[in-house]
Amino acid sequence: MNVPFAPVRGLLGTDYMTVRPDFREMANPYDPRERIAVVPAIAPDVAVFHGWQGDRFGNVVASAASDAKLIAQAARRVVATVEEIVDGDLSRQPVRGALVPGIHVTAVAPAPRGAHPTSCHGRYPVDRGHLQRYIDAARSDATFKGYLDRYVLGTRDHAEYVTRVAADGA
Amino acid sequence: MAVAIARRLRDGETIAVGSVSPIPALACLLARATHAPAARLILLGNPEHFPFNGGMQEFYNFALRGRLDVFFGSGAQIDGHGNFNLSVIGDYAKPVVRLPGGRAQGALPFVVKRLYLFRTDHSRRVFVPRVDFVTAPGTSPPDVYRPGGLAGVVTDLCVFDFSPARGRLELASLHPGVSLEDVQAQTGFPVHAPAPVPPSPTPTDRELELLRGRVREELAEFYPEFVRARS
Repeated sequence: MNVPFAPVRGLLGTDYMTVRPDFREMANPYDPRERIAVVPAIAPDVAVFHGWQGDRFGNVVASAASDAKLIAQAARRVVATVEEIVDGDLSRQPVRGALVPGIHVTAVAPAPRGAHPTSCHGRYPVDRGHLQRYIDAARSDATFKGYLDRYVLGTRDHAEYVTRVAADGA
Repeated sequence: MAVAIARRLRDGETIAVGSVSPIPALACLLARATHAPAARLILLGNPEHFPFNGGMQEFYNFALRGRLDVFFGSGAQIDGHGNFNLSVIGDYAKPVVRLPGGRAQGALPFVVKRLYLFRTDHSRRVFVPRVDFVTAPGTSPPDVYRPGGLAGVVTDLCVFDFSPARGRLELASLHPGVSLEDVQAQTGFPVHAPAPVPPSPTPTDRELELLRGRVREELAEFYPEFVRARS
């Protein structure tokens, strides 16, 4: 839409109006009896999301409960990771879920279990054991560095991350 | 608590429940199995009970249009004026705890017809004289669009109704075995109460049977841990 801001019916009287100086208030130009909050547009440089399937045309199918299509239209560059790359053209077949057309998408990368440790609906549930490991690690800088070294900085690629997570168990 | 919430839900209403709200979800399923068979339930985070295909954006648009009759929230802090905090404990810039409330609760309490807050741990830590951060105010002046708002608070001790006219929480009922003094002792603001305070509704045999049977099985589909922990 490329609008610079959006009106929001809400927020007035909340402390978000205090801690966010970029949230402003104005009179509704079409009904001056109403005060309304306005918030600036978010224009991300990059959007990243995970989907079920991608194809070589950049089409991606993601959960219809996700906002993948929204963020894909908001960002300048769009990177999708997917559970699998499929043959054929996803835009020319019936899909279950939300089709993000390839015209929005900059890059698609296969990443099975790429939503881990959160869930990928229909594929795998939340990994609560690993999330707890993350929460425990996040309590101090030292333990968090240990987490990063083991799972993020110390892994060559996503496949090694998946292998290491499986080896460590819950 | 589930029965107290269920009795406040009406047949044919559109009711949305957040992704970490097992007790409201239980109440909705119970209401639908008893007096509200035509209630429409939206369970966020559960694709089987999410009637939209345009993501959370579509859900929020639906809610902002005033189409939700009932929504639930928790509230880390709640004060006597119906202000609640689900954003941050401590200073905003350097918080003790950062909470996720701003996404839904910065706007939905303005437009959802009846918002109910629930707490399973009624204490002075929760019911404070003044919230650290106003995620949503109890009342708004007339020049702010506010067709909806807080309707009540259900806790493990009692039920409060919110009176928008008086801008305050008022004790509606006490759960079995709980006295007004108990509630006041655990509440950090003066409790306004009718005399005498009515008792909260007790579950009927039929409700108990459903809570232990069919409704429990339905809840287990999307809150397996919650149900398992109470086996």
